[in-house]
Amino acid sequence: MPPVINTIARTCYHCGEKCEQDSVMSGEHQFCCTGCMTVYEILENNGLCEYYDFEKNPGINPAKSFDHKRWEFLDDKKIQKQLTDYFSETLVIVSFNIPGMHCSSCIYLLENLSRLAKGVLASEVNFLKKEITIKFDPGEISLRKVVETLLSIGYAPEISLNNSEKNAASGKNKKIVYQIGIAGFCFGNIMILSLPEYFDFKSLLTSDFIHLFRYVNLLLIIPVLVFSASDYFRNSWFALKNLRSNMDVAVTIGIAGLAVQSFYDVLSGRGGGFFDSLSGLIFFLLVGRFFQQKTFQALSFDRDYKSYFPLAITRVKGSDEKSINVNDLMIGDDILVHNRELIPADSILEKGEAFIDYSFVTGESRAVLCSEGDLIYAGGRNQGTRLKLKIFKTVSQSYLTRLWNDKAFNKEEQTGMSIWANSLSNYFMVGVIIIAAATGIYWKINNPALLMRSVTAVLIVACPCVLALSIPFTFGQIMRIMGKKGLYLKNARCIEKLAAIHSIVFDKTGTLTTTENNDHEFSSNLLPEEKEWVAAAASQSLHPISRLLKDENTNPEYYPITNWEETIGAGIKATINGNEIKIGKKDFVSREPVNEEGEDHLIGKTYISVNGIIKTGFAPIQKLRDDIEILAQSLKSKFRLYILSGDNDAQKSILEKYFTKDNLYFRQSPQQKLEFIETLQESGQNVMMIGDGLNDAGALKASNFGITVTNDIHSFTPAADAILDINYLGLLPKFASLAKDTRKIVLGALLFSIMYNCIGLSFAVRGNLQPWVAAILMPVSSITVVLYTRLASIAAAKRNKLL
Amino acid sequence: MEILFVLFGASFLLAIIFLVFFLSSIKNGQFDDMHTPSVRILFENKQTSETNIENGKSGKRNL
Repeated sequence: MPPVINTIARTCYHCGEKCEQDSVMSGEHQFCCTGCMTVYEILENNGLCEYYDFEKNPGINPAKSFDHKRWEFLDDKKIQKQLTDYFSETLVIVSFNIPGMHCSSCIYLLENLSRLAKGVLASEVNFLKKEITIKFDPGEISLRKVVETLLSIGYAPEISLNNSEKNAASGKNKKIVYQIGIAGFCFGNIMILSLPEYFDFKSLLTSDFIHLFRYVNLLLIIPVLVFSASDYFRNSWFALKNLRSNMDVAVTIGIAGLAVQSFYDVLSGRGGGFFDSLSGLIFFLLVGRFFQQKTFQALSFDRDYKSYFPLAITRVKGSDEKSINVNDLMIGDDILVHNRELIPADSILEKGEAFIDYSFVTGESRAVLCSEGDLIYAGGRNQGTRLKLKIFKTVSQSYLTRLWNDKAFNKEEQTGMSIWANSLSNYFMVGVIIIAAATGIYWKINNPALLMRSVTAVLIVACPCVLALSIPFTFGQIMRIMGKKGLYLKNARCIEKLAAIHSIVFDKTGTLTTTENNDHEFSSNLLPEEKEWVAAAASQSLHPISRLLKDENTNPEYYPITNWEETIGAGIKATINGNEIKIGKKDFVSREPVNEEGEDHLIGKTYISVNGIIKTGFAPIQKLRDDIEILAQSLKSKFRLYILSGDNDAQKSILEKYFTKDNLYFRQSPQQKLEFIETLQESGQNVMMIGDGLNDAGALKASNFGITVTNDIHSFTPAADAILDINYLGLLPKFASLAKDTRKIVLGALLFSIMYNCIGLSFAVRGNLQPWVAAILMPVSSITVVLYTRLASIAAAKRNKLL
Repeated sequence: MEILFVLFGASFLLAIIFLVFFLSSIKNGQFDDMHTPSVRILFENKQTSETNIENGKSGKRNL
């Protein structure tokens, strides 16, 4: 055993990871592995070491980000055309998502890509979107080379063909900014030109001025109505056409009332009209809408299997190997699937044996052993040597991908204001129409001259604009608070869905359990060197537990292994540097006969021995997360809890401690999960589904509120209403109660709204609503209600301990 | 008071110029990324960092 040097809490200069025994030095810096050192050397040779100045240990270990995909398909002209934004003989522009981008050093390095790869003309990063746009000369460097350069410095790009949806969303976002710009410009100018109407400047000005100002106002309001307010008109037209009513209808009535009255006043020369109130109202409403529209740019909520599956796969025809688009695969094609690649379509194993990891597809945590002639399902990951498969079904007809043909995926997505808010505004409108009618009848009897004036005034004042303003501001604020705590909602409407939940269905694998387990148990009793030996011995085996051990070490190849032997169903043994390493069952590992203890045997504990002495034992089952107990306790009282697992029932006894026995379901197929959700919904429940894998995709979509949990919010997640950072799973009860409080906040805003409307109405029913009353009431009510919602949201978050 | 006609025209023109600037900057994507430029400005420009390469290797820094 050599003396231990240099291991005292040194961290890798590149990635910041703790350096173990095998750390390497380059110059004065220490690195945890050769991968990190290589990146450092690349940067040093290109004079990019400033990378390390902006942040401490900014790097990404290239071994971790490298996802073992093959990139031959990037040489295919057809795929190149689909991936690039612009393609010509001399210039190609391409954008990639780089989930690993995390700090300012990353921006520095990625924007200096041209110094690393000759032929790259320029690169620009959008940090919030985690996107890089690269311009390069295809004559000097190929697309594949560009991608490989990114990989070599640890920034693996995410490449998928359905990037088009993102661009559409940003276009929509821009439109509202234009609308706000126009409305704001007109609002400001109209206000200035309306001032003479309110103060006694009229005597100073000749009537020419008054008329000029009024007519300019009239011209200025036209773009506001035609362009800025167009969405309100369109939405209410659609609603009325379908014989429904919503908030936009109420707002449109108010806008129309104001506009008609003002045009009439100005054109008939009776007064200045309400142009300032009108443009201000539209301006504030649009600002509220913009505030609510905030989206989490770097997240994608609508991914389907296509962005998880590979783009291309190696097809074999005779002796010819060619990389082709997976969608072009035909039944009967032969394909090659390398280690850690995904199987793109249901296919039959042609030769040998294979370990397939279905954990993301079925939730089953252990890899499955398949032999010649077995059917292998799409979505499984090959764990081991290269496989030759024959395609049995096309990609879209495969067992897993068929799930996307279910009607749950064709559900119409409702947008805009929430259902609850719309029903509130409907009551509001009924009230307004009754008051307007009553006012009309009263003046018809008493003074018909005031009839029209008072009725339009009622309609103007009673517009639920304060309510229409408070809802987007409240929802937007709550969404931001949740985002800070790791729950990212797809849109504001989701808050309401969350508030209405009755029962919660959990997936098990990856959601309630964690894969970052036995690390401590495995390594605690082993010397660093012994750990390396174990990893080296394990790297020769395909067994899932061996794979797990192997992953503990990045460079197992350094150790010459002799006498390697695997006994099926018992374990492996190997001799390294004259030391005998055994991994496996207790009686296999130990020289002395052992009495197998009951519990150990049941959960299949694995032992490791060095030279016949048992060093450590660990159970390769997945552990429950630490906070499950508290989570289950606090949710139990308010919700019905279920567990739907694709895995076997090995952990049933542990789960029974926290969850009702009858609500645990194991060995569920993706389709069964979806149907279970639908059965719950038929019994009148609003169901929340929490899952992580592709096997939950159907259930997530069918549920009223689907949450995808993930370790890394930027990695692949199936389509859902929200993405939750797994570390914040314990906050779920608080999120639910905050969502419920949101309604109370909006109800409070409704009181404000009614109060202001009563003040306004008291003028309006008497038929003397002056423009200046409207001009003061409108901004005052808007500003107070925005302040109120902001304070109330923060207070609610504090009450729920989320802030 | 007729000067008001001119003043009014001037202020209106000014407001329109600002509006046009605003709209064109949205169109050019100035507000698309509100974060990266704030970081980018802190990087030294290429010229100085290239001289750093030459000097950096020998361990000296020439400013």
